[in-house]
Amino acid sequence: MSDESPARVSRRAALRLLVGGVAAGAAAMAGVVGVGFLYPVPKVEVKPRFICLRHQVGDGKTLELLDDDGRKVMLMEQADGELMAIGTTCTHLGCSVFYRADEQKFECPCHNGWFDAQGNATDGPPERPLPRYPVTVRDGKVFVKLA
Amino acid sequence: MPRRVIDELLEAFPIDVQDLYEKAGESLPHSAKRWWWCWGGIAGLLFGLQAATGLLLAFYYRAEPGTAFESIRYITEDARFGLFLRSVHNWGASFMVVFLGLHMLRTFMTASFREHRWGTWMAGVGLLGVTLGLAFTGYALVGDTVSYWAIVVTSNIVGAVPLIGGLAKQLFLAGDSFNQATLSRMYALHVQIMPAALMGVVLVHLMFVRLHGMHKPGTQADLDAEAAETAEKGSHEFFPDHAIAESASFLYVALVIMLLALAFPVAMGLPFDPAVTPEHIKPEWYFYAVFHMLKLVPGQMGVVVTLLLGVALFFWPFIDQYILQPIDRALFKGRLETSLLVGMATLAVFLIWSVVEAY
Amino acid sequence: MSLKIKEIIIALCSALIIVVLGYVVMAEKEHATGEAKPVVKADSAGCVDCHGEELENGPGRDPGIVSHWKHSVHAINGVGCMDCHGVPAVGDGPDIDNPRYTVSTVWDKESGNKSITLVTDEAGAPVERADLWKHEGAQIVTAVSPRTCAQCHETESEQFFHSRHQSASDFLGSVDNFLGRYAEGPAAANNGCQQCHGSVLRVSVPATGDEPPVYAADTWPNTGMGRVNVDGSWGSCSACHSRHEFSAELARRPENCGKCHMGPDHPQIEIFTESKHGIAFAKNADSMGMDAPGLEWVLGEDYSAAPSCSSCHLGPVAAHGNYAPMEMTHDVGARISWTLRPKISIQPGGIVDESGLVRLKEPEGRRQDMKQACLVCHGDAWVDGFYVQYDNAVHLYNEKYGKPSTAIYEHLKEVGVLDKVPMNEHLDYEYFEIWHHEGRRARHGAAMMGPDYVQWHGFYELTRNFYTKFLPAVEHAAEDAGKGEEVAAFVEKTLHEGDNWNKYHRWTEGLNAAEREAMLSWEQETYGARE
Repeated sequence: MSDESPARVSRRAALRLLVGGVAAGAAAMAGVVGVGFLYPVPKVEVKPRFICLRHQVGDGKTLELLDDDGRKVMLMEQADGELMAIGTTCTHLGCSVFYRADEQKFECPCHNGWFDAQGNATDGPPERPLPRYPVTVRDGKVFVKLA
Repeated sequence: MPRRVIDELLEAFPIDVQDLYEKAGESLPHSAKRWWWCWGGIAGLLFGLQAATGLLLAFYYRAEPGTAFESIRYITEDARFGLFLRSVHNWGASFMVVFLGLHMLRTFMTASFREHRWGTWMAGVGLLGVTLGLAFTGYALVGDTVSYWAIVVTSNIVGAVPLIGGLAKQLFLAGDSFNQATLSRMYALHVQIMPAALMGVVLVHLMFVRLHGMHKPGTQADLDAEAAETAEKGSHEFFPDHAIAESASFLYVALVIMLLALAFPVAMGLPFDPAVTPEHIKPEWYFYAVFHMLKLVPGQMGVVVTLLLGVALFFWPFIDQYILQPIDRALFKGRLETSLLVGMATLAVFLIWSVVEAY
Repeated sequence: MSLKIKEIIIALCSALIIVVLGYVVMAEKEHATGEAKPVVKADSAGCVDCHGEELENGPGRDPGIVSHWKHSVHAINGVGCMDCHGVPAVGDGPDIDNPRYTVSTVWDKESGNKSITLVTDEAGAPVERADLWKHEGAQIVTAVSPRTCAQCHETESEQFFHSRHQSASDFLGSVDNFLGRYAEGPAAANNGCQQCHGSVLRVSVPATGDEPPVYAADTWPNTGMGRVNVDGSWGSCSACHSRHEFSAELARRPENCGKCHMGPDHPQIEIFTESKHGIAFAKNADSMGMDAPGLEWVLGEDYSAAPSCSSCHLGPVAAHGNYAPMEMTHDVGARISWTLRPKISIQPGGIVDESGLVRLKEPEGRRQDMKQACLVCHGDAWVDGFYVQYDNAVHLYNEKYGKPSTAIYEHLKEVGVLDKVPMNEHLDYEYFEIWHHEGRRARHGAAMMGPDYVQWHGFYELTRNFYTKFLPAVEHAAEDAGKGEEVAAFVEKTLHEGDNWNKYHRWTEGLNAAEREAMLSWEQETYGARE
């Protein structure tokens, strides 16, 4: 036991191997975390949510809601009687838009952006339309998918 | 592995490892075997950590005012290990600034900028500037209220620089005010330009260090002690001794960062709304002292003072050599180091203002 | 520091890093697909924060309530605290539907129709309910009435409104009412009768400022089925659909009905448990998918292993054979042909409201509906034969025990042998238990196939009590009152009415072999002939 024959690994080399191994293990774990991070996460199916009764919206009455990310959404009745849930955060730089009932348009006061009644960008700096959320009406109850 | 394969690899990659070892290696004084001599290396390795975590974050981040916050929220709440990685990146940034500061403190205390080493020093100050720039652009990308107002306030400071201020501000914001292209600019700076600049300046910094060799200890007694230690223990080489020391301390720091990331993860703020100004807007902690100073000396004067202080820091080796050292010799007969006093005083003011601003 | 120590530090730090990263990997939340999470809306967030379990300064006030709600279908669909405890704004929808205002419920016992009218003051304005109060900035009511549930569950509320469950508290003037309130005592009535039938909610101290109104302690807490609410409506949805979980599964389980439908006077849950239906249910309950969403637990389609109470009496039945599917109803009387409650059982007629809408079918129609449920698992001959057996049992009770004992008892009261005060004499109880206890047990046992209740808890006790207790007691009481002969003659006349003596009471004198034979064959013939 006292000699270190060439066929056997020396104690120092063994220690170095162990250290290297543990360090490699740490690197491997970091790799697992890194790669795992990049793998897409399964999509959570979001249910439509009860908001109010049908008769509580319309004739000028609107409801202000918040979606899951905290963004403002407005539930309103369109000209054809259908309900619409539309995000009211301007797609330019994030100010809140206002609905101008007389012109049936959305106005953003910050940089004079305008959207039409469906939320499409018409005038000013905004380019992308206002986001729309699916609305269903069941038995007089209004449900909105606020994902 | 079969002998033939190894032989082929050695022929294809004709690297003389031993030669490389010798060229890259360097004998260090035994006095450098203290943990406070590792700080610079740790700061550099922390950049590696930031680059690695940052690279991963970049896979999900989107640099547009409307979607930036949502992408950060996705990373923080939905992506696997996202909260952990973002927290490591966040804590790592603070630690990098801390270790840079510590390294600067050490070099200042040991007056390593003397003996014609002003090149090393200036590259170092450049690295400090780039690191602070990286830190700033980093949290400007988050897209919450702090980000927005940080960009706006900083753009106003940039705009207050005499002569070139107006142009600089436009360049900074990609326009006259915060617009769609501003975040993209911050992103390009944070992910491409500044890291490249940092790596370039690090190379310059290390080149200077290697060319000059380490600043050896001062007095004859020190030199004798050094010789004795070398005689007893052999030389202290960069490879493997100092490299391993730096790796060990870096791993330790990385572990601490990970534990902090677990115990105190980042939290989601509120998406920025240009129409809303929060009550108490403050920059990140490392800017507290400057922020406080700008409150004391407001407006353009404050910006000018900051610039002058930066210039003074950059040219410190010369200030030290041509102004302070003669004062030392004349007034104190070499028994007092004015440079040290100035350094201590500056550090004290920095700390006091930071603490005051924190409350 | 030697190289070795540095290497050890590296090894140690690496090992700890592996542990830390391992923890990160393990602690990663499962990003569940489709697992529904409770939705806390802005207007209910304050409620959940204070009443729930995650208060920053300590546990919430009623974490159980919030926990129940979080596991409910309401929470997943975004129905929160304010949707039920809040009231619609003034002018939001018709006033009569607005739970903010008081209504008056009227039950016309002649026609069977029920209606509500809005209560107005002298100026014609609607009157706000007395238990509306301001709590943390929101106007709420504590005791929610069915009119709030009706905002979203219109159909179910409508069906329930016209059912006998809704009017369960309306038995004023009945013997049971006198028994509970006066013979026993208010506490007995409040804690006993009213907890099933429903109290008449009363506000004893109105709300002031931020202080809640105080409900009179003899009326609240109460989730009796027919509770009269402060807004004037009748009924309590939470009686079956326990708050705040409001679970359909709970309402489907027999134990739910068994809270009230049990005991010596109507042991439905005991009978069900004894019956083959109950045995099958006990074995199969876990595999019947009882937690299916509302209206998706259809007999014959989603399950058929066994029925629970709601399967036959309320639940939806799938199409089968030539039958169209039968919809769910919240009118518990919709499929019941006999009423087994009274002294003498009858088959109540249908109810048609003023506009000609059929609120309750005629007895044959109701029976057909019930048969439709039976026929999912049983053949026609089986079901028809059952109803012959059932009808015969009810008939036997009516003719042999119910009618005679009632006629005799009424007569005793008329001629003054018994005083006018209810439930104060021995005979009052003898008679009461004949129709109210063993008489009902026999009938219910027959209705739901619990043979022991038909026999030993039913007809056996009827026979023993009628012949060995009631009739002798009548004799003694009449003699003590000096009307012995007159009453005896009346009893004789009653027992000999029509062919009743031969059919029912002649056995008391003994039957020889020929007579027994004759009785048996007569019965067998009659089983075929009777409806």
